[in-house]
Amino acid sequence: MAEDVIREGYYVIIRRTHERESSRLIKAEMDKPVFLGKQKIHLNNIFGQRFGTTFEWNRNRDLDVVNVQQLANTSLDLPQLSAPSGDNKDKDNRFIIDDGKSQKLSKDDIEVLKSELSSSEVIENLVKNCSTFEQKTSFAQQKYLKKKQKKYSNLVTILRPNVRLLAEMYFSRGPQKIDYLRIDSLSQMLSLCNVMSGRRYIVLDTNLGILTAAVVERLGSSGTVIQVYTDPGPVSTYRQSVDALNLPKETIANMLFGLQINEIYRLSQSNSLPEMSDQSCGQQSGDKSEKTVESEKLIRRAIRHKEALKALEILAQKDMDGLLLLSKTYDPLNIVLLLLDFLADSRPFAIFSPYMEPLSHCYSELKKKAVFLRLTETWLRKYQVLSDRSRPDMSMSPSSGYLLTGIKVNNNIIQC
Amino acid sequence: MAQSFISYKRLVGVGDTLFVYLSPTNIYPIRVTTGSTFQTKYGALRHDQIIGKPYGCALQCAKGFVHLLHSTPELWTLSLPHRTQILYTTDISFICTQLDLRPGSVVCEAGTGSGSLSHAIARTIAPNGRLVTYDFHEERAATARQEFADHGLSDIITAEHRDVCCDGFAYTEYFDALFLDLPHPWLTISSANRALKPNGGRICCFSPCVEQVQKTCAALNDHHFLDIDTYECVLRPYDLKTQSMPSYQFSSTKSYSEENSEANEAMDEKSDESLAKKLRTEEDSSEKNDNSSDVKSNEYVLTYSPNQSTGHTGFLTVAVKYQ
Repeated sequence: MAEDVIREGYYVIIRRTHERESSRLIKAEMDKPVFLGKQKIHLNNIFGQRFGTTFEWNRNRDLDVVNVQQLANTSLDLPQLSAPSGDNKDKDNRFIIDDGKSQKLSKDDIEVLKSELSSSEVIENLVKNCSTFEQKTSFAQQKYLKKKQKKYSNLVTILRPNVRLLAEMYFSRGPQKIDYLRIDSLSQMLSLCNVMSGRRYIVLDTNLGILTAAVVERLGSSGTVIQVYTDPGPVSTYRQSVDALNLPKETIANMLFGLQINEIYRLSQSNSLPEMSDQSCGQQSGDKSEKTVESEKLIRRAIRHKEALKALEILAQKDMDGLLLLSKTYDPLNIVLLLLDFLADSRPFAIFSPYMEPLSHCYSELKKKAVFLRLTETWLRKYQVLSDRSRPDMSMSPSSGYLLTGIKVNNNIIQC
Repeated sequence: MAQSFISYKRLVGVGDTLFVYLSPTNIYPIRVTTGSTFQTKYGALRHDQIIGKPYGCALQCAKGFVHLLHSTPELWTLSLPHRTQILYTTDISFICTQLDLRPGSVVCEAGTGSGSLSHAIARTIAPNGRLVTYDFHEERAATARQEFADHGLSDIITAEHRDVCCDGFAYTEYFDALFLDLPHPWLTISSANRALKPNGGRICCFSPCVEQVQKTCAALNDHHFLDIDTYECVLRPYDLKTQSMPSYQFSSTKSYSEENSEANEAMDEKSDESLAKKLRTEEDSSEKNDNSSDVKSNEYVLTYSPNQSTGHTGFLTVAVKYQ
């Protein structure tokens, strides 16, 4: 598949192969190096390779393709799930003194090794020079090896961005930027709002556009998303997640339309499509050096204007199929009541908030307009599964945020 | 052909599967058929009367009214006829995200069970995706196949009678995603590996017990799957009620204030209104005490956990294949 191949200008997710939490979203360009932590990497060799490929960075900071399956069979002894546990009954750590002196190599020694040897050779040396290694149980030895691998490995993997990877990345690195929308809550919004190809959805989203991208991804190449924002203009990153999906520009242009919420309010107050305040006429700047920046601004404004007109045209039919709303700075109640009007009857909606109170406040008002109202959160825990060592992870994300979902109905009782 | 689960209609038509909604715990699926009648506790509902009515309407019955709701996989999951234990939307939604499902995805599922997940997958991969679903129980496979046909999903879902543990998956390097809800999923990992597309194919296994999870993870590791993760996702629902809570009237003149004694008698959930009423009528005639003020009541929208809810459904293990 053509889209399986990494091309210049694509957004990619790059991560250190043995440290999944290091994932970063970047726009891959020729001759434009990136930094993974402190490590500078040249990306030129990734173009033409398939997404999912693992690379090794060499001394020149270029990337060479490696076969990840070959690595799995190296003497590096990645944690075995079926490890023999016999010797663990006789070994324990009662004599191991944690004085920081068990590693005989100095920091400088290790730096020298790093510049001369491959990462697996470096780790072998560390093991040889670790005075307490043999005393450790096989579990502790594997944990030690895994830790060294995470630190000294020079492998990176390039992945194709999708909503799952983006949502996990954003949540672990800066959940406040996506209003604490955890991946299980995001998944539920998509299911409970019956998001499917060919249908029309209203989305009120976060600064990074993750919810919008999630709906777009589930629409495939057909359907409509009206991305509503409450700020005077959309923030610069409001399409970041959508752009990261590397979808063709025409597909997005046919599906995604942004709109300031006051335009919707104006529409609700009148019966006809309003005259939009013409924002596309900017002031001409006298300074020549500012002209290209200014004209880019005008182009963006013209595009937004066109999108808004199209969005209003679609909304005016009052036939939308679902409403997905992230409650941010504003109390969601009057926003929901406004937008619910544009939903057809018997269509679902979902309101997410990191806090419960705004949602319980909405609940009683929404009883007049909707049925099957439910206020929920989800509990999500990850597990370490290894032979004789299976347990939940020690750290856990405590809160999924809260979801209020329901189905809009018409409560004017009709006779059969 | 009614395609109720992968598109939307405005008006009820013959052959539609729709949901009659009375309350959150009383939702009933019906297949609209001329001449049929559906009995509800509010009275009989003749199908001929509801044909042509708008979805989302409130329909008067003899002793009350009901809502007619358009079908969705989520409503189906809550009210479908159980032939087996089923998956619910909490796990289903998590699975769809973990498998990166989207329109056009080619998916395999074993076993079909009662078709709860199958409906949600079909909705997510429509219109051009494909779901091949296997069940080793011949009658269940046939019932599922009929249900998918009734719901207009036969173009997307192929339901087959097959024991994947013995006979494998019948496809090689074909599926973007593969889901297993089987008693012994580790026995199929080898053929699952062959059935998945080599670059990025994703697998998800659902197992209620830890031993199953351990054996499955070991098999996934042996077959060089990567990013093997095991999760548990449990829904925590909340109930809500509006309740008035009076402030306790302290008194230094009496050891047990008379103002509070009536409040205490009435202090149970059923008589919120009678308590509030008592307090309002007492406002005019209450004795002055040291705190001398009107009885203060705060009205709260209380959210609380219900007495019973699900503790565990199963563990979800996901992994990816890069070869």
